[in-house]
Amino acid sequence: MGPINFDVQQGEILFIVGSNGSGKTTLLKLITGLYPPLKGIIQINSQPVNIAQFNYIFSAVFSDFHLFERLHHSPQIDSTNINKYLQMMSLDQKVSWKENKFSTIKLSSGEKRRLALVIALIEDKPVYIFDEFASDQDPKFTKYFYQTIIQDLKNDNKIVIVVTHDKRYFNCADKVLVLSS
Amino acid sequence: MKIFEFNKEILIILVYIFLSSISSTFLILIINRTIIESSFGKQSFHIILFILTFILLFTFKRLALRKNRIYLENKIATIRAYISDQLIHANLLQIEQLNRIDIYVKMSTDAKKISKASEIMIHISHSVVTIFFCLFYIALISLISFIIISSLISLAIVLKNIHSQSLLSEIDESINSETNLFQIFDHILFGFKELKINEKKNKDLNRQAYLPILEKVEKLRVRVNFNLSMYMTFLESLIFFFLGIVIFVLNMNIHIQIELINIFLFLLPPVYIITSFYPYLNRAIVAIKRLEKLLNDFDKYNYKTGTLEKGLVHVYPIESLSVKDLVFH
Repeated sequence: MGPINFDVQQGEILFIVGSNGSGKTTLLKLITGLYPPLKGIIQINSQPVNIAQFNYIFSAVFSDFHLFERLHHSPQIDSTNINKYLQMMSLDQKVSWKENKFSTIKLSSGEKRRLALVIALIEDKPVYIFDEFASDQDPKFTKYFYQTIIQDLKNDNKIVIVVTHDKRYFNCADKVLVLSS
Repeated sequence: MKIFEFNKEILIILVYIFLSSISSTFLILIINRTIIESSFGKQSFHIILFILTFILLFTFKRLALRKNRIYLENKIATIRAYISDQLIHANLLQIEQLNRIDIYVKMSTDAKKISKASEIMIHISHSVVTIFFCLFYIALISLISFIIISSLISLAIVLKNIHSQSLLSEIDESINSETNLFQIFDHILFGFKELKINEKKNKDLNRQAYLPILEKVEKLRVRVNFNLSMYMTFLESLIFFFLGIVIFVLNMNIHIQIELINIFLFLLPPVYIITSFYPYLNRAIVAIKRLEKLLNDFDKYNYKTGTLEKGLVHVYPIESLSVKDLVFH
């Protein structure tokens, strides 16, 4: 896979597109330091870095994400914020935040992914990664994701990287990186 | 990486076992002496000695059990902490290559077997040392009896060594097959949707994978457990074989015969403990080897060289993220 080049600035949305097996998910794992690259460099603020030492900057919802009942990352959790996000993702009727954990994670696959998004938003990191997030969402929420959620993150000066197949929403991106197999 | 290495803690446990075994042998010595010397009016002295020895036996056995339990549980906790530490520090490529079911089995089932063997090891060690002292006692009473019983015990040890080689590999094979069985369970649980809508796939998984492994596990378990039972029966019958020789073959004084029979009655519980706990001990030995292999695998692949080794570097704000000529295979 590669050589791959791209640059994404604060407050920008990058879409990564390509056919199956083109390496979109692998690229996300490289960017987040989960896989070591064979060659090439990753830069933060134009400085070459060992990205594995910077993995705290990412909040990601991978296509094979895992849901934890607790957040496990923040000693101070604002339950008002969590409830706001649960409501935003239409999960407030099914899930609530009780005793420092979600009341349930037994949800449909689409709902689980939305709960993973809630967790990602609570984490409030500089870089957001979404791997085919809208693949199992209904049209209404897919639209909400592309036209509201990631735009809000952009307006909040976050770097947003989205792996997608949704051609209808390519206009929501500032940059599109096409990977060919 | 060795799970168990000889150290001060093990030495202390062994000393406790040794002292409790001496105490239990003394008990039979006191009983025998009391029977023989009852006419000389030394009973009150023997009662005091008996009570004191009994207290010593109870105290040392308790100390050995407690110390061993603490030592072993600490070992298991250390192993589990080591494995999770290795996993946390591994990189994704290494994690993706792991056999997850194998780790689950080793961390749960094998660790439990070792934990269960904790008391067993004490009882077996105590029994072995007690038998050793009883042999010494038999030697003092009747040299010919000592030679016969020593020969029989030597035969049992030789057979055990021959038996252990194949038995341990059979136990290992049986656990590996059970691990494969759990992997099929994993497919059934996680591939439930695919199997439910695809009758052919469902039947094929059942016929080609699940049932053959199930059958293999069943056969291996029967073989392993039967072999263990046979060896235990053999050990038990040795005692009665020897008693038969003492009573019917050797022409001995009635007092010596009674003394020997008393010793053998006393020997029955230790022999019974060894024969009953022998299967658990073997399973624990295999479990220890399997855990050691897992730890050695972690050491071999040096998982700690994964991420976070150099510590996090904090930079704010993150203004841009870029990649240049990134290549990955």
